[in-house]
Amino acid sequence: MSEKEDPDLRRRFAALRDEDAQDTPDFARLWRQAQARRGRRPSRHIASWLLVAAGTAALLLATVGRHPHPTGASPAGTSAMPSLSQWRPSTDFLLRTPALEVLTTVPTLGEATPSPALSPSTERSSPS
Amino acid sequence: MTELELERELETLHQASFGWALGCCRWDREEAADVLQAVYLKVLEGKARFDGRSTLKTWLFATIRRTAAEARRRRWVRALALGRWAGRRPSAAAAADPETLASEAESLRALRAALESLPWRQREVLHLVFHEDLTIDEASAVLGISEGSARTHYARGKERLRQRLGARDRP
Repeated sequence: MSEKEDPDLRRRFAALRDEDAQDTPDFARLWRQAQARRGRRPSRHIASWLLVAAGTAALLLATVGRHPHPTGASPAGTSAMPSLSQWRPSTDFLLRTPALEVLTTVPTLGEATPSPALSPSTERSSPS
Repeated sequence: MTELELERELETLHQASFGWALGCCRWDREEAADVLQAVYLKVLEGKARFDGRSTLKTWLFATIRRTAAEARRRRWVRALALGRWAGRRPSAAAAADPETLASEAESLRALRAALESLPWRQREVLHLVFHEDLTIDEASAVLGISEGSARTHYARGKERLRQRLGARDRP
């Protein structure tokens, strides 16, 4: 089997090749356009590295934000913030009812019963 | 090879490259020009580098084929994303009506239509051998297949092409 056989097919393909060659775009034009595009387009290599770096940074931030500092020391800038145990909601005063002390303190024998009249500014005593 | 030397070599092969790009793009001239420009861009950016393991023509044709396949995939994904797959542009060859092909120009269209109807690999081998005057061995290097496989595609494709063209030539 030789690829130099088939004169009929070769003749047909030669005609096709001639027709295809008629409208071949100018090499210089395509080359210049490619050169111009090379200058414009950022390297895909650099773009992929930037993407990886951004992803790593986002992952790092998410991890650090989720877990507390391992040494227990608060990171810089967060020392002024109150801790969670100290935080009180703004509607906390609504829970203060008269005679709250009766409910939150343990009475001892021989002591006088605390006055039920409580001012709203009375500090909430912690359970002993 | 310097950029200037490569440019001169590519210029020598430009016409054949465009012919092969046309074959890879189903004779869509605009698309073939885009593919060829993308190939030149790859060469300039060093993404496609000739390592001397084959001839420059074989390497260039393989790069064109790969780039055309990438462009086809991108177009397909874009069309799918836009939901316009069904309304895609028909190729020039597919639009040809085999019953009315009689004159010389129509004979070329008949050849294109017959090529279009062949399986992809057979069409590629025939195009490389008959249109680009490559040997079957060179065609197999371009397509990245074994020479034996290329010979099989060549023989089967040629047989089918003859049948299709013969059927159309008959009154």
